[in-house]
Parts: sequence; structure tokens; C-alpha cells
Amino acid sequence: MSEFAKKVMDKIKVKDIKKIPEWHFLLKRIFIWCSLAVAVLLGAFAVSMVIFQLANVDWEVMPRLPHGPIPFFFRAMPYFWAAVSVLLFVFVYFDFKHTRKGYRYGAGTILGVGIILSLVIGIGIYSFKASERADVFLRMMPPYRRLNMDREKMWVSPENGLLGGKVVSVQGTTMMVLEDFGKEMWNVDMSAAVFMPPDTLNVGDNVRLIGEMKKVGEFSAFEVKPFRRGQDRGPERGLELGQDFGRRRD
Amino acid sequence: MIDCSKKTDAELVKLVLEDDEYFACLVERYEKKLLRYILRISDFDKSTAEDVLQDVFISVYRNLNDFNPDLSFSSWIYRITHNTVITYFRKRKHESVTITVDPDSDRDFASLLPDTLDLAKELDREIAIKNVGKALHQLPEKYREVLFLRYMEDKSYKEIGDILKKPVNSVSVLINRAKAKIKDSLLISNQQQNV
Repeated sequence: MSEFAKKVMDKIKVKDIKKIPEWHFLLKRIFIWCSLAVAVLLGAFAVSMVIFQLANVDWEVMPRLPHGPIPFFFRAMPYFWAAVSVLLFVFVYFDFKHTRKGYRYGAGTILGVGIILSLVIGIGIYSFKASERADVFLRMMPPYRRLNMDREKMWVSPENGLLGGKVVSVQGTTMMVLEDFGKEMWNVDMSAAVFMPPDTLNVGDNVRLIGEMKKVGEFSAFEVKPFRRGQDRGPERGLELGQDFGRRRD
Repeated sequence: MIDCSKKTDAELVKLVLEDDEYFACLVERYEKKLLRYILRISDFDKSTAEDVLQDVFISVYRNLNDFNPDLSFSSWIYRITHNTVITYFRKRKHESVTITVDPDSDRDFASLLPDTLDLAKELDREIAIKNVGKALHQLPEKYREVLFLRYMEDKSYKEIGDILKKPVNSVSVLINRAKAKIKDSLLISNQQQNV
């Protein structure tokens, strides 16, 4: 045995150095792969939210906004979920790099596979309407609502014929009282309004109206739609929602 | 007395997991190579390099259960050495490292380079060795290390990738850049000598 080898062996014996047990490394590897799987799934969920928000952009608002389509596009983009997706992709990249053979793959390959995987799963989540349900659920949480207030703000523009808010009361079949997202109260004339989808106007619901402001506090609606995204794509969805107020206008 | 000269690294690792005494075989097998590697990629004197090497073997011993048999043991132990040297650098808070290498080792290294550097063939051998040595000293550590692993240790691109934890493509880029940098440096010194 060489002098140096003897020195090393003595140090191991004197300092009573032990081998780290195999389970320790196994646990570490399991943790890395589990966190990777969670990150991919969360990334896919974030992608599904991006798809959901893009698929439900309020295009009807665009011609009514005073500054044209460009500011509208900037406001309509799903920044929050896009940022979450990017963060998760970065996490997936570094997590994968920490797997045993992760270093063998370049950033392009890891990110490419990660993004494609998230897109495929994300489209799956979106098509099962999980992103829509998640949007409703998340909007019940004040911090999330505050972060995603752009859409609400866009719909409080009565001078441009856009009004969004909560139905406070329904009077007969032609009038309702609405509290807009800016907490102002409005008497809304619905006698000329088309309901999309029909049969859905409940007290407490959030709705968006396209119409005309008569004067402060009075609005005449041409179109009444649920504010919740993904709810105005056909009568069958409206019927799914439940209560029929006998307001079929079409 | 244990005879381990005919055992492969993988066999020795298995034996060490059952009987610690076999670890001495691995130490003996790698101590010279790794000491040379540490001296090459660092500015440590021999005594510090030996301290680092001792830490390398302790780390290898502690982490032996993490050795992945898909990887060659050699790549694994070089990787641990590379990481331990970096840890020492960080401890000493050296941001950039300049190495001091004895002239004979420059000669060894330079003698391996002419096959890949046509320019070196054209130069007087002694001047070339001196210039290649100088150019090597001026190279950033990451380039010097890949050249050392490729031409002194005769490691394949895949093995270098396993040691440095980089994709093979990145290793290839690093080696090409390192060669280009040496070539540029030699061209400049050649022009200066001609003037």
C-alpha cells in the first residue's frame, strides 16, 4: 500500500468516516423526479390557463375601446399565467439538470421536451374544462382576483358601451339593477337585449353588458352575457348552468 | 495482502461496498493521475494538492453508494475531483485562477498538440513548446481543463462530458474554442517574433 493510500485509510478509520447509505441517495433521486413531475403538471396547468384565457378573449370589446386594437391586445394577454408557465419551465430545466443524466442534454432539448409535454397535457386539461373550473375557483380568492383585474377594468367603460358587474336585482322582465366592478349602481334597461346564452340571469351573477349609457346610473343593454369566461358559447351551456328566469330573448 | 491489480474499477467498487480494505486499491490506482489533474487545473502547490486529493478520496468513499454503474468509475472520480477543486477555489475566494506549471509538464502537453495544430509544426520545436506553454497559461481554466482531459488524459468527449457534467456538444465547442484560442495566441506570438 502506498504512503498516501495508507494516510487516506487511516483518516477513514480514525475519524470513523462512514459511507452514506444507499437509501439516502435513492430518496434524493425520488424527490428530484417527483418535484419534476409536479413541476411539469403545474406547468401544464398554467399552459391550460393561458389557452383558456386566450380562447376566451372578449373580442367584442376591441372595436369599442377608444385607442384601437394594440392596447387591447396588451390588456388581453394572459400575463400572469404566461409568467407562471415560464417560471415552471425554468424550474423543470434546473430540476432535470439535477437528475443523474440530466447534464447530458442541452437547454434546447430539455426546454423543448418540457414545453411540448406541458402543451400536450395542458391542451388535455383545457379540453376537459378543468382550466375553466379552476378559473372560477381561483377568482374566489381575493389575491388572485386582484392580480387579474384587467378584464374587470376593461368592462367598466359605460361611455364606450361596456358595463360589467354583479346583478343586484331583477325587476320584471325588462329591468335590472347592476353594481359595476367599480361599485357604482346602474339601472339597466334590457328590453332590447339579447341574452347569450339565454335563460341565465341570476341575482348575484356577474354579467357583462354591451349597450349604451343613457346618463350616469342608467344603461340600455343590447347584449347580456355571463362575465365568467367560457359561458357564452351556446345555449346548451346556459341550460347547464341551471335556473331559468324565463328571459329567453332570441 | 490484497491483490487488486487484475480487478476492474467496477469490481473494486463492489468489493469496497463489502470490505473497506479494498478502498486502498482504488486510492493507489488513481492517486497519481488525480494529483496530476489537480495540479493542472489549479494553482495549488503539491502539499495543498495532496490535501485536496485526500478530501477527494474521502468524498469518494462517503458517496460510494451513489456511484452509477452506467458511468465509468474513472469519469465519476474525476468529476468528484473537479468539484472538490472548485470547492477549494470558492473557499479561497479566487475568482480567476492562474496556474504555475513546471516547464517539463508544458513540454509534455505541447508535444501532444502538434497533431491538431498545423502552425506548431512550422515553428521551431523549442519555441513552439515555450509558446504553447505560454498560450496554455493564458487560457481560461475551463478551456485548459478540457484540453488537459482530452490530450493528456486521453478522455473521449463523452467521458469529458460526464466529468464536467456538460452535454457532448458543449464539450466539443469548448475544445474547438480552446484550440482556436491557442492558435490565435500562437499566431500573435509568431508575428511578434517575426517583427
